[in-house]
Amino acid sequence: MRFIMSWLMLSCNKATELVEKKIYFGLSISERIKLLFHNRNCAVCEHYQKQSVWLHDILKVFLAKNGNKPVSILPADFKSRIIRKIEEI
Amino acid sequence: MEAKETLKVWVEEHSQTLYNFAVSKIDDTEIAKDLVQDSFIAAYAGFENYKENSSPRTWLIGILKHKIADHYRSLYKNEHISITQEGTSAFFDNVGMWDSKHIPKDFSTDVNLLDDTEFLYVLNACIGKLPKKLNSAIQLKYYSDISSSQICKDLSITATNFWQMLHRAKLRLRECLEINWFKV
Repeated sequence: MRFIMSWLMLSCNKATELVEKKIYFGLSISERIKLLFHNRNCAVCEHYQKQSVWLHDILKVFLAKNGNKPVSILPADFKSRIIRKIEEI
Repeated sequence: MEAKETLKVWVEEHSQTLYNFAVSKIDDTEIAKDLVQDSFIAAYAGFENYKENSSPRTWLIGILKHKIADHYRSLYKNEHISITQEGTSAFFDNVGMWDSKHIPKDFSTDVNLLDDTEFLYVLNACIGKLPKKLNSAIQLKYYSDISSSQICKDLSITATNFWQMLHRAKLRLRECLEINWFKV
């Protein structure tokens, strides 16, 4: 029993690492069991997991789209500078 | 048409579009300008690969996307990580329990926040505040839909290395949003 418990035990640092591994690469069966067991007993890491999956969904949309930044106009000499560079090649 | 002449027309017509695309992916406008310039030069050098029947804009954006990915890859590779500033030690104690000041609070995880411009502003600021290496890990992962394993291959790093970096980045992003959005 003690052996099983020590096998199951994860620190919060490790558990939240596994949350990220799960999102980006997937987990092995034993990792899945450990994470499930940890989160069932640790409300904080469960919040972390929920928020991390949410953040993943948000970032997917936000960073793949153009974001929401105001776009500045190119300086007047920008185009002529590039054209000059190309002329020189 | 001769390559040089075509390129000149393209620079006139597509610079602003390429620049808009670049600044949407990169905060530093000077770097964005350089990448646009590099893209036109690369387009000139590889002009024979351009297919007449495809749209120059799409072709140029394709080249620019490669340049942006290169930029983040080299940032990722060349930034050395400082464990105290960028590791997980601030968040956890030496046995890996949450540090009392960094315990995640519960907050509502609503995807509709993506429609809230103020939220996006805060999110953008939080992404911008990440240490460079962690920022480039996040950008590489999300700016296009390349798989995580492909990113690792391109960077020649292990999967473990990459998800640990994303872990560090997301600990910080999560906390930044909690403090600057959910607490206010």
